[in-house]
Amino acid sequence: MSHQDQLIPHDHVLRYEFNERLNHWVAAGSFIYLMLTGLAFWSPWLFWLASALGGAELSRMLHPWVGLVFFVAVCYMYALWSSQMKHEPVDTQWWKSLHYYIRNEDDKMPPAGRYNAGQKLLFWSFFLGGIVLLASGLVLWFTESIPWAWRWVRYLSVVAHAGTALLMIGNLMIHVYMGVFAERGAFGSVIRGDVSLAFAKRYHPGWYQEIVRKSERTK
Amino acid sequence: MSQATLRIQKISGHAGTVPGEDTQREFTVCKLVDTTTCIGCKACEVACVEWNDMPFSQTSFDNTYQTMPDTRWNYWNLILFNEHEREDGSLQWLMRKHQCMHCAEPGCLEACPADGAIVQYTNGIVDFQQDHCIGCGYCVTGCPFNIPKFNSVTKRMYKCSLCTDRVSQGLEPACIKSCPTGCLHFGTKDDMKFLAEKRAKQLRDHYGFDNAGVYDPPGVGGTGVIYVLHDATKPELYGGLPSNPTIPLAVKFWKHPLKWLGNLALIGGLVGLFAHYLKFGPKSREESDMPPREGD
Amino acid sequence: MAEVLKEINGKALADLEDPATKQQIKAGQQVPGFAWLKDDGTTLCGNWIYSGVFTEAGNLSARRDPTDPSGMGVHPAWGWSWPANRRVLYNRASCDLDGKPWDPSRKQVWWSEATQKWVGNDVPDFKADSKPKDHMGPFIMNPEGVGRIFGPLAAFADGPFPEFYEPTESPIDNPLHPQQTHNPVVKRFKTPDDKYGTPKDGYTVVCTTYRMTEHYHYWTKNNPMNVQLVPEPFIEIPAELANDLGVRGGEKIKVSSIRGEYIAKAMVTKRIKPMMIDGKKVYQIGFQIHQGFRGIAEDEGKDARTLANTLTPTVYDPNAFTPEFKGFLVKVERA
Repeated sequence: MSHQDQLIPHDHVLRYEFNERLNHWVAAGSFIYLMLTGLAFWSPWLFWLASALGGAELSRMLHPWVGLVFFVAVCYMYALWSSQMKHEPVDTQWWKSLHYYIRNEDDKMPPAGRYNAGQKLLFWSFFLGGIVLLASGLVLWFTESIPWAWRWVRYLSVVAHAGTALLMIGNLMIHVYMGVFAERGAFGSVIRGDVSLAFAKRYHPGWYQEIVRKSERTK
Repeated sequence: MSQATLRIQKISGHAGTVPGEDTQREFTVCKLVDTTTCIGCKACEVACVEWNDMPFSQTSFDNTYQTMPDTRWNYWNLILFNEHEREDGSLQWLMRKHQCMHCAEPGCLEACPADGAIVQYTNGIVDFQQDHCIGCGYCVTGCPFNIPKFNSVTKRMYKCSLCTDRVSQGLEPACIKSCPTGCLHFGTKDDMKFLAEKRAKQLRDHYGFDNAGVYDPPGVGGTGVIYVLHDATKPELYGGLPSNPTIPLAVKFWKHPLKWLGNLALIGGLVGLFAHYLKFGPKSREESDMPPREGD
Repeated sequence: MAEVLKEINGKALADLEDPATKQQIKAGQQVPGFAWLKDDGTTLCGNWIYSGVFTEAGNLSARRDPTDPSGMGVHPAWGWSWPANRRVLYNRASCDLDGKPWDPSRKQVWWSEATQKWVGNDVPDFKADSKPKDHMGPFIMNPEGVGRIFGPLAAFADGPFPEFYEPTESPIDNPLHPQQTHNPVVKRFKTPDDKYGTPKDGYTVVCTTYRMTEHYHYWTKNNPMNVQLVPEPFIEIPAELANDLGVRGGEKIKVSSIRGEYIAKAMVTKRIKPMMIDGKKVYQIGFQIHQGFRGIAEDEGKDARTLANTLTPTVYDPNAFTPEFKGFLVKVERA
């Protein structure tokens, strides 16, 4: 048992390893920068954001590079979690019960695994959105390399990049809301890595069962 | 300084109103290019490079008299040559002076996100203000004529300024001054349209060019540079002049419907989530304060 | 420019007086015309035929008065024309022996009995006070005072009338008189390099040389602006010839006359069409003269550094000595 693991209280369980937590914050930090500079380029009313972040010219220069960082982080997330994000029958049930989830009647939700359907949707939308943002972003970054005869690629990209970015910001709003405000105890999982067993049992009963089975086997 | 801002009609990426919008009685200026009397001598190319003190660049032979394939950040004005064989077998060597068209509805200005990087003066000239440019290249997407060009060292975009520094002092642009055949004219839009239509009519009536006409595309609200063409039904023969240029639909969609939708969604999302928290609160108040699940 | 024009006009370096009119000009003043110019160092002039363009009255070439007193399209106060603002040379010839215009409705100049001078809507190109009865000839630059149709035997090497001959190198015989295809008195040199090619030797393509608007003779190849406009030499060939040779635009070709060769990139164009001459298809090509031994592109090793006139024949017109650089025979091949 590592020193880190020894710090987990006896009624908590480790949910995220160090590499997962670090990668999450690399993705989050880069996304915040991309979102702020992106919103500055999106709306004249928010253009001051670019100036505040070191100058508009610097923001334009760094935005694509930070975009690459974000994409690499998202690819690492894919490597870490994609196998756990596959659609299961319980997910269909979960979506059908969404109205209970929204009303915080979590006791009426089907037993989600390590990730519930909503989290899976968020994962895939960040991943696929990231790909679209990367592809359209490359076109916008090297816009003069697109020949005149292929200008429709530019037209597609400006709409795809802005539209997808807005959807990603929507993702982020829900993600931050859930992680900071709605599900108490969730935030610590990406800082110290652990959640309480009660948390696991309440929100991810399927995962909780696995942990219990594993610990019984090692006893 | 304040007087100068009143002569600005539109500003790119600008939040709020433009202080000078419709505050001045001023004529729109116009450059008339009569392609039927151009001899491709390139005096206008040289005049532009010289007036703007632009550094020389490398060129190479490309099986044409055309100086280079396209305008550059340091070459704003280019004669495009086209050897065109007509249906009757005769050959026309078409020459068109290619540069920024100074559209009344500029696509570059529409697409630009940087406050004040592109302005349109009340006289119609569309000018890049490089000190506000962020070098993002959105103007390249917005322009239906493929004009703005990027300098990779300064990271800014450049194009023909319609010699705004000369025009503001009552002089004609450098290219107009240098033209030896008098195929370039400069004056108010009304006067230049009148002259152009007169010349087009002369071509139709007396020179056997039945399709001669004036190129002043309405899709961008008309342009500050207009052409007299031997055949106005085939502008693409003249170095790929687009027959019906408009601000690209994608740009219009992005800057108007998508803008509204997106802003509404962003604000709506924030308001909605806040309202949700007010109504439903967190899923549990404290970690310990969680009711047991059924079946525990 | 105005400063240069003033120098060309000329000025007095000492106080001068015209003995005939008693008019005086002071040292430092612009001379009124070439009649004032002296060969004793008291005047200075850049070019005598332009003397009078920029007098003390100012820059006469900048005048823009469109008045046309004769109605014949003579505008004496629009600009200034050499010599002495004369608009039609030898204009005394428009009058009869008595100094009256042949056509009273078109009066250019005439003899004024009252003032005993030639006057008119134009400056008389004549000695102003020469009375008509003295019969001075109007063609004042010829010693005999009259125009020449049949000139003196010694005046023309080839004349009196022009005649059509084929250039020294031609793809055909002279259609007017095949037994005398070439000019019999054309000047040729006799060095070993003065050879002439024929179609039988394989020189079947007609070649010409010319100038570009983008360059001026041999010095603009040293000027970056001109070199930017036209960076390299090229040879313009008809599209049909390019097809025959299997050459695409931009590929190097070699053009050779019997005297030399020139290698440069081909410009394949539809503007030059093959010619049908005497039932045979004849191609014409052309190239510019502006590149040579040294220059911006030359010093960077970007062209062959040959002069265009390595190919041309040094044969010249017996009257005017104009060389035949504009029409000769070559063969064209891939380089």
